[in-house]
Amino acid sequence: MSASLISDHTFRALFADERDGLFRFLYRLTGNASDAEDLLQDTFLTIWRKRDQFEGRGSVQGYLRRTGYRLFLNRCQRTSRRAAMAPVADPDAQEPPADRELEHTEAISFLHHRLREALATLPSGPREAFLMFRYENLTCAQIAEVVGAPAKTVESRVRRATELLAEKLRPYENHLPVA
Amino acid sequence: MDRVQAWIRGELSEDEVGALQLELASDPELERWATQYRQVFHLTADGPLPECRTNAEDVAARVPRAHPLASLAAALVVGVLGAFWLERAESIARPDVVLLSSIPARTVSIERETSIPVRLASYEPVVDGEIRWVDDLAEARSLASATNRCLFVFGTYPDCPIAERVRKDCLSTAEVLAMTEEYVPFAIDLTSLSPEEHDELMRTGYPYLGVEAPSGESKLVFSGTFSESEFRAKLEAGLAGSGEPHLSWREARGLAASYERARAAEAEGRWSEAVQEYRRLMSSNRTSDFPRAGSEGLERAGSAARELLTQAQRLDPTAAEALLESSAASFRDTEYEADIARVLHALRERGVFPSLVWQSDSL
Repeated sequence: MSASLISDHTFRALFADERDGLFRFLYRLTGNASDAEDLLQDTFLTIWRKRDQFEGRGSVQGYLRRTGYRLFLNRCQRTSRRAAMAPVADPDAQEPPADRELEHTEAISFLHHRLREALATLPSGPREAFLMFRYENLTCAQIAEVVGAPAKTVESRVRRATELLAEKLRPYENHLPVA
Repeated sequence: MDRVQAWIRGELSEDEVGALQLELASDPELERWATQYRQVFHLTADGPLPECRTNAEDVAARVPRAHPLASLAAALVVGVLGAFWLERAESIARPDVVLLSSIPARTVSIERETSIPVRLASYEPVVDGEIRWVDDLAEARSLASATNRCLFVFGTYPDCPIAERVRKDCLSTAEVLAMTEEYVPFAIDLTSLSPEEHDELMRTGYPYLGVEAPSGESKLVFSGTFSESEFRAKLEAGLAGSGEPHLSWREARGLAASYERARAAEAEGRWSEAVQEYRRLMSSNRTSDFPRAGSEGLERAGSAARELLTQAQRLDPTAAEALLESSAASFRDTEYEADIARVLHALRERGVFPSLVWQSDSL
C-alpha cells in the first residue's frame, strides 16, 4: 500500500473498522478505559503521521496492534507501570440490582477481580502474550509480530502464563461461569 | 498451540481435531499444556468490556494544522474540539465503574463476638496491698481470656477463720501479691454452690485452691493450708506452662477503655472514631482477645460501609447522593472514605449510580 492509499477517506474507513478491536486490545493491556482511549488516539495519530512508512506488508490490524503495543510500552516506561487487567464489570448495568441480582453481581465482580489479580501478578512478557493469545485470538506468530519477539519466545511465554494462571485460579474453578 | 486454541474455541473440523489429538498423544508436554490451557481458558471467560468513546473527530482534532489533513481536520476541530474536550474530560471524570478498594464485597457475619468485660477498663487485681477478688465466674473468665491469664481460684466459707488465716499469712506478702497479678483472682463462696459442685470441690481439701484456664480447664489444684513459701511455690507452678506473654494490667485497662470508646462510637454510627480505636486494638498483644475484638470491629465497619452503598444503590440518584453525602463524614479518615467519595463523585458526574466492583477478598 502506498502512502497515497491512506487518504483521509481510507483513514476514516480504517478507523471505523478497527476502532473497537484496537480499543479492546489496548484496554486489556492497560486495564482501564481512559488509558486505552488515549492510546487508541495516539495509535491512529501515529498511523496517520507515519502513513508514508506503511508499505502494505502484513495486515493492517497487525500494523495497528504493533503500533499500539509500542506506544503502550513507551507509556509504561514513562510511568513505570505495566499492568494488564482483566475485564471489569458491566458499565451499562446502571439500574440498581435487586437483592438476588446484587449477590450475583458481587460474585461476578469478585471473580473478575481474582482474574485481574492473577493476571496482574504474571510477569509482563507472559501476561501480554497470554492476553493476546487468549482474548485477541492471535496466533503465536501474530503475537511475535506485534511484540517483536521470536515466535518460540512467544510460545514459551504463553505456556508460562498458562501454568501460572492454572495454579493461581484453581481454587476458584468451581465458582466461575464455565463456558 | 494455535491449533489447541482453535480446538478449544470449536473452530476445528472433526478431521482436524482427530489429527490434533494424535499429535497431543505423541507430545506429552504439549498435551499437558493443552489440558492446563483448556482449564484456564474456561476460568478466564471474558467479561463485559467498556465501550470505546473515541471517534474519528477526536483523532482528527489532534492532527497538526500544517498537515494536508489539517484543512479537513480544522473544519472538524472548530465544531468538535470544544465539545470533544468537554466530553473527553467528562468521560475521564465520569467512570462507569467504581472499583472499591477497601469496602468489602460481603457483609461479614461474626458468629460469636469477642467479649471484653466492661469492668476491665478499671480493674486492678491488687489495690493497697489487698487482692480484689472477682466473684462472678463468667466475668472472671472473660477477664482472664481478655488478658490471657489463668484464674487463681480461692474457695472458702464466709467468715471462716482458716480462710482468714490463709489471707493474712499467705495472701498479703509482696511476693504473693505480685504473683497474684499474673492471674485473675476469683473467689468462690462455697455456700453458693450446688451440693454436687460443693462436694466436687471439697473432695480436694479446704480451702479450695486451684488454677484454671479461661476455658475452665483445671490446671492445678492445691487445696489445703501451706506456709507462705509453699503457697508461693504453688502459685509459681500454676504459671508454669502458660508460656505466652501477658498484657500488663495497665495496658489491658487502656485497651479495654479503647474498646469501650469504640463500641460507643460504633453504636452511634461514628465510624471514624470507632475504626481508629479498633485499629489500636488490632496492633495490641496477639495473645489477648483485643486484636480479635479489633478485627471484628473493623469487619463491622466494613460491613456498615458496604451496607451504606447497598442502601444508596437502591435509591433514586438524588436520594442516593443525599444519603452518601450525609453519611460520608461518619467514615472520614477511615479506609472506606475514599471508596465512598469515589462513588459519590461518579454519581454526581453521571447522574446515575455507578457499577461497583469490589476489590476485597470476600468470597
